[in-house]
Amino acid sequence: MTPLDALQAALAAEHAAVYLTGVLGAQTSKAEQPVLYGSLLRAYRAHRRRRDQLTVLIAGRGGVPVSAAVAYELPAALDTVSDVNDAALQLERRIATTYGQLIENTTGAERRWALVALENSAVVQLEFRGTPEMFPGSSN
Amino acid sequence: MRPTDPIPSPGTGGPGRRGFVLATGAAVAVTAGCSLNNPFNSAKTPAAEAADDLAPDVALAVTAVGALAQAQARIALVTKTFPALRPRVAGLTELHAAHLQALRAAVPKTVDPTPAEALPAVPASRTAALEQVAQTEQALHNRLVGLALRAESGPFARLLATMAAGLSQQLVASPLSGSPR
Repeated sequence: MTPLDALQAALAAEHAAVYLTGVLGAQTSKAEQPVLYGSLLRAYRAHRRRRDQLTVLIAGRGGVPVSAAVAYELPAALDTVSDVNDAALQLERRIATTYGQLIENTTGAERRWALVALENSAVVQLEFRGTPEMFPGSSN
Repeated sequence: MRPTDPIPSPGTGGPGRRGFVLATGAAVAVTAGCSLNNPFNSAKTPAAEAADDLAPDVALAVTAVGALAQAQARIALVTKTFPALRPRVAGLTELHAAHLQALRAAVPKTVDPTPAEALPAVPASRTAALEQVAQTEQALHNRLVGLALRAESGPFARLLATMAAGLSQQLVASPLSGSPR
């Protein structure tokens, strides 16, 4: 995988993450689940920020940033607070793996950026009731 | 990623942790002409002296093992002085063991990764001792991030980065600062 391919994969992942965290936020009551709502709002903003930064990185390499899909398939169940929380946790775990892949396929400033993104995503998992892992972002 | 897939599914290609260890093992084998590869020499070379003779990523692995061993030794010393702190640092202890396990095979048997300098004494209070552990762990984290940036092998960079991220998770999940419970 080339560095540009890895950046495009990360951007595609962040497009999906922005969409999904938006949906999850809409499923969550700010009044009744303020903690989860706050976590989702911070996650949404972080994904949106990283999406924009990836767009700049890709354009800087002369690539054409991949576009977001019109829509994304949602998790089968989003009926309960627990469903929403689990979906958010799964999303962050997958994003962390994407950033692990980006670290593997880049060097220098891009790898440094991906390192920060991986760390952020790993820590955010704890907000969604994730437990510490030995190697968050690894491929196996 | 399929456009309809809500949760991105990154590729899981690449050799992973086992692949890295095998690759670095090969790197050691081709570092010809140095005493580290002399099968008749059973003496261990301190990491600081060995670094120049090792392949770049193997030298980084030796450094990482040394930093992990130092953090592990710090915790052992603190919990020996304050056994009640053992549950508080149990997660870190397990994490270090897993990380050392992942790196051990990459370090040549003839290299002694143990840091030469002695550890500072354990402070008299539990709070200060925990703070000392926190500082050691933060230094370890920073070291792992720095090594991940320098690694020539992508899979090795990823391994080091995931170790640093795991450490961050652990420190957030079980903060060491504040009054000991």
